[in-house]
Amino acid sequence: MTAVRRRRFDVAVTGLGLITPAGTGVKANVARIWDGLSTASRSPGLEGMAVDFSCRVEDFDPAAELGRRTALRMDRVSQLGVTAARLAVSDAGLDPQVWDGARVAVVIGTSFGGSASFEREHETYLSSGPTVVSPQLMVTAPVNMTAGHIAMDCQALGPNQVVSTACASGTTAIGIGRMLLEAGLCDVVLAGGSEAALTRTGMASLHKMGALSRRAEDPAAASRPFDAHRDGFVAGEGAGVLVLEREADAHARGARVRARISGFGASADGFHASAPHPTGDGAERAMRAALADACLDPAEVAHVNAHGTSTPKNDVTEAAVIRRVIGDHPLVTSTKGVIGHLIGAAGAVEAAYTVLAVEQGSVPPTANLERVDPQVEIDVVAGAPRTATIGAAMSNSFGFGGQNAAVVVTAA
Amino acid sequence: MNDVQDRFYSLLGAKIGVETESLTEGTTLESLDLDSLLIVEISVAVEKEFGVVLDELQLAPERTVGEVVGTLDGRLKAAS
Repeated sequence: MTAVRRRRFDVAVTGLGLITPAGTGVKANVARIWDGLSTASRSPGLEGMAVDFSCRVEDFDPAAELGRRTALRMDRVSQLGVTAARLAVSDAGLDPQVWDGARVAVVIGTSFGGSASFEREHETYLSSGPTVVSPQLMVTAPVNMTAGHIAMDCQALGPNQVVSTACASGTTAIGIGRMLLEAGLCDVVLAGGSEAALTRTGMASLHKMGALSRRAEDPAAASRPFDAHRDGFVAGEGAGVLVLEREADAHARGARVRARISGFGASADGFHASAPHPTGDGAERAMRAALADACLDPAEVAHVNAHGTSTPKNDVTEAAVIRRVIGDHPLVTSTKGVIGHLIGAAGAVEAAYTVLAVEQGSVPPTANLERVDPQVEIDVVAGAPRTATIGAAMSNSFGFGGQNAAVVVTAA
Repeated sequence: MNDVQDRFYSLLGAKIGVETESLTEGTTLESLDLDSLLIVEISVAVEKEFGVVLDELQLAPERTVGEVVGTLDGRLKAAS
């Protein structure tokens, strides 16, 4: 049974930091996402693989952004995460030089952490033996390090953690960040997700399990959520961080409030390692919990940023759950059509896009959606953005292992 | 610049982010602001690049880059 709140707890979203295949910063992301053009292309590191394409963050120079020495201390997952955090803090108009760092928390979601570093050093181990394995592996690969590096970079010295719920990690991070604010354990939260795991081993496994699109002849058309001819997701990398504050605090310092996080729900399928529950039972409970937490009637939800992976199973199941829980009225989109599936970062980046949709009163189109799957009986935005007054919206994330999370975003 | 010095400077640039243009033979390891982890990183990278194992004394903070190159040169010549 879903618990019901008597009074809603809103947190203000005062800053967004995005470094994704769609670009770096809010402006670049809005331009590409609202254009609805896919970013998938062949990957230099995946030559010869059955699936040799992905969505990547291009034109990112970690040494220039972070300093050479600092960048070398981090796996790419942390380089992206720290950069997203810097962008978010700047967007929020906060200054780490003067803030009370002990009251600033960091909650970051990731699924694979620094697994690319681990894979690289394992190759060194196999080719050259244990004596030349880098001692720094144990400070680059562990999943906790992205949150740790963000703390080091901007002296965010409050509660600091990484959460891992597979593809729901970024959404879970936002939910936990909101809880930290409600509990009074901090005054500012940098909540988000980061992922950079486009390794040959990982991609080989995702391909063999049948999760990835095999449209190698046309990568840009491969991620096509809710389309009748979808055949799997396109893996991506990137990071997104949201600055969350209690509303009163945000107003007191005169901050711009882009939108509010007003509800969070989470659940487990308890069913299968990769397949969603056939009726979407877990997804439904997460969404209903988020609605109840936000004290909202389903009729008030005008927009859903779906998990929408472009896999045959997810999209049909999720569409049915959206229709059952919310109805057929919300404007639904999947921004994975443009940036692919950012795994542990997906939920954070998509929540940021949901914030922007609410703020702008415009829902971006789902890339490559040419013919909606007849089993998808919801209103999926395709072709061009659609304008709407969005008082409330939901962002869904469902992970391998059956871990589900949903956040409700409301207008400021 | 001899070959060993060139390779060692490149290694310092690639592995610990030192600006190689700023290195001279008299640059001490201490002045490169290395913590213990980076010292080990250098020793691992040297073993991988040159097949030479340097001990703690040979990579002590007061050692200069020129001295390390000299040690490497000597060890490589002795082995050839």
